[in-house]
Amino acid sequence: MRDVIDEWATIAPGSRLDGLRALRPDVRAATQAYEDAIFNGESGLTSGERHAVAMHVAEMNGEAVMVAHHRARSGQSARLPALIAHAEMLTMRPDQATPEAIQALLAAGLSSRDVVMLSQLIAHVNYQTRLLAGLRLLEQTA
Amino acid sequence: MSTHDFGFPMESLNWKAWAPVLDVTNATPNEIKVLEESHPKAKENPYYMLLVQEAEVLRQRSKLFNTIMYGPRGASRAERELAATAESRLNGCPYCASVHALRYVQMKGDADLMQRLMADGVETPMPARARAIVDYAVRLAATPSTATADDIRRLREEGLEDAEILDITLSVALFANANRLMQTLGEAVRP
Repeated sequence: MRDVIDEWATIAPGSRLDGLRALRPDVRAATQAYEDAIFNGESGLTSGERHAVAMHVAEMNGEAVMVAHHRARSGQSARLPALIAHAEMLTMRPDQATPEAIQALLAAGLSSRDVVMLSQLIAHVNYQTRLLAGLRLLEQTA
Repeated sequence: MSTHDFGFPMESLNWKAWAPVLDVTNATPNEIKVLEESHPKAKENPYYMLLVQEAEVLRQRSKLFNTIMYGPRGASRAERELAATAESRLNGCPYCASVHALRYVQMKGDADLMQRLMADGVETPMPARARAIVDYAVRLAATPSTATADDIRRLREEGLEDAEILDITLSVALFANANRLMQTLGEAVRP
């Protein structure tokens, strides 16, 4: 089974990288299922908010293909700036995390479950961007 | 204030959540199942009791975590743990670093090297193969990544095959994820 990473890294079926990734089929399946659970699951965060946050995380990681994917699906909301500020801290300065940052999200109307979804989403995009970067290097040095 | 301030003790730590966690007595059968799939002691661990509130996301994330770190692979479990610990030390996640430093030693990794990595950081001296893995992990962990083709060539020169380099890449990618959950949803506490 192919996943969204294959699409973004333009890994052609039957190519060397496709063969390499095929050695780890459970990673491919879980990467896609994790993506689907985050972006298609029911949540207090709207789909537009989730994609807008993902777009910003992809942008900080310099992943243009991912930025375009999420931009096309992103939306606006009054609390979006607070979500993006949290995404920026987690992505760029995770060592600056504080309990107050979580309290601020709860005060902005997020439930504990929404905070978990937001954090999983930010963490997931940070996983994908490193995997993409590593795969491109493996391709370049073939 | 930085999560680095806690220090990086090489011992088992506890973890305290910053947001309300699920009370296990209120867990649905599905949530119990997800917890059991995630970790043998998940029901006693506030980290999992927090994450299980988004049960399907945790289920899929645990599958990913467990296959990358514990699945039968090209790259040795010790080397996957080395990459994960170096990144956790760099990002400043004392809980993640302690768990994976201890596991690295259990997997017959070099205990002296790991003690120095925890105490002094990722620049501590180490043999060439470990150095190549840690340097790649540190650069791939940066936002955005600063890893280069030279990092991959060095890993090959140290005898790693591409499937093993992919496994190290997966471990680093996964800890870009794991550190950001664990160090921002709560904090390490000494038992």
